[in-house]
Amino acid sequence: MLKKPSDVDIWIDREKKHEHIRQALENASTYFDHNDVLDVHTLEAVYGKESSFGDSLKTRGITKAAGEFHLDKVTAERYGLSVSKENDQRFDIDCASIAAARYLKDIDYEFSKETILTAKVRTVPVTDPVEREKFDLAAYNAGPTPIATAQQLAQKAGKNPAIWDDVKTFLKAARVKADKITEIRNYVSKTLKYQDEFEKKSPADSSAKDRKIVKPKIQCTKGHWITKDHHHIFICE
Amino acid sequence: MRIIFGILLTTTFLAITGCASDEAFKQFGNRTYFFADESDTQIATLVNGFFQDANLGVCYDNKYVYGDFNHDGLKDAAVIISENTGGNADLYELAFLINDGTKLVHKASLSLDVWAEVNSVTEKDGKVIVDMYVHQEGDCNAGPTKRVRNVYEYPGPDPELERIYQQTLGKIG
Repeated sequence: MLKKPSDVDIWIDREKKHEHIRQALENASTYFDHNDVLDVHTLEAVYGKESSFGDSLKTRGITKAAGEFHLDKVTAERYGLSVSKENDQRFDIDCASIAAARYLKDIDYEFSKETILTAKVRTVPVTDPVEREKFDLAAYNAGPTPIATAQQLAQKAGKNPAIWDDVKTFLKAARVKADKITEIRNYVSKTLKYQDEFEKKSPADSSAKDRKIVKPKIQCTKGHWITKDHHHIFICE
Repeated sequence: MRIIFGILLTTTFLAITGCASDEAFKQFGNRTYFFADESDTQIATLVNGFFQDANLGVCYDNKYVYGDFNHDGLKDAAVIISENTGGNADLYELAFLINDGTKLVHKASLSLDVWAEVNSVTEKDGKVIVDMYVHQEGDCNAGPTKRVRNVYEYPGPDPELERIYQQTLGKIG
């Protein structure tokens, strides 16, 4: 009897059929470096968890999370993407994967040293990059502030604020709502599980992060969208 | 005749589901909501359906319904809003706006789901019925696939929201 393919098997199959996806993810991974453990497989895992490799993208121009990496408008614009009904670069795998990689890298940096987030909240440094990746993913999902608040509370209670398993039990004390706590915990464990499977099976090159960064061409603001080989392309006028 | 029936049906449907009208958008997308969770921001006054500061983003989701949710004979409202604390996770909530005799005041919120896809909001016997897609095992974040029709009852005033409201009395409209 044939074994049912896993989510990762299905996504790798799609990546093999549409080579541009792998190229985009490898290129975006060049924003990572040797101070972190993030690589192209992290991006594959996040891409799968967020939009099932572009299966669910939602609507162009909306304020809430949408597109290949399910970024909200504020975050996307912070990383230079255009977000409008006419031209939403969250739907462009080249641009969206770079924004997601930069966002993850920025979060990783914030948790690598003490960072002031608000008047009351600052991160507690997580020196082990493997452990820090769990904080990165949690913050990609819930924002750095609630995660850093839980770190502070864990520290006050005598727990290790640099160990995710210690910190995640303080999300409730950090007044994160129950539904969101479940979401954050599942997000971290599931995405790491996907990442492990991608590492074993994916043809994407984890050393791609050592390459030189290739920035996608600057897009125009007027034009229209076409879809070719499951890839959204903006045609400039 | 058929056209009139069609118009009546559409009007009735809009009234039942509480789909957004311009008037509703003005009212629910430009008002103050209270938050008693992890964010430093506890008061969000929406402008054109949106609020954003360094700690909190809030969106009015264009869906609401009227009803007498605290059974005092006055018309209250239940509104779908989403809140975001900085990551990409939007938590969808049902906000109960209770009529105090002169105005609607946000008295309680109930969580629906992170990234819920709400189809409609209706009222029956003083309860709110939310027809929506929520996540199940195997769903990606952007695509919940489990359709549910959950019934929500006004839980009574949230003491934390009440405290924030009392603190802000006179400061907001």
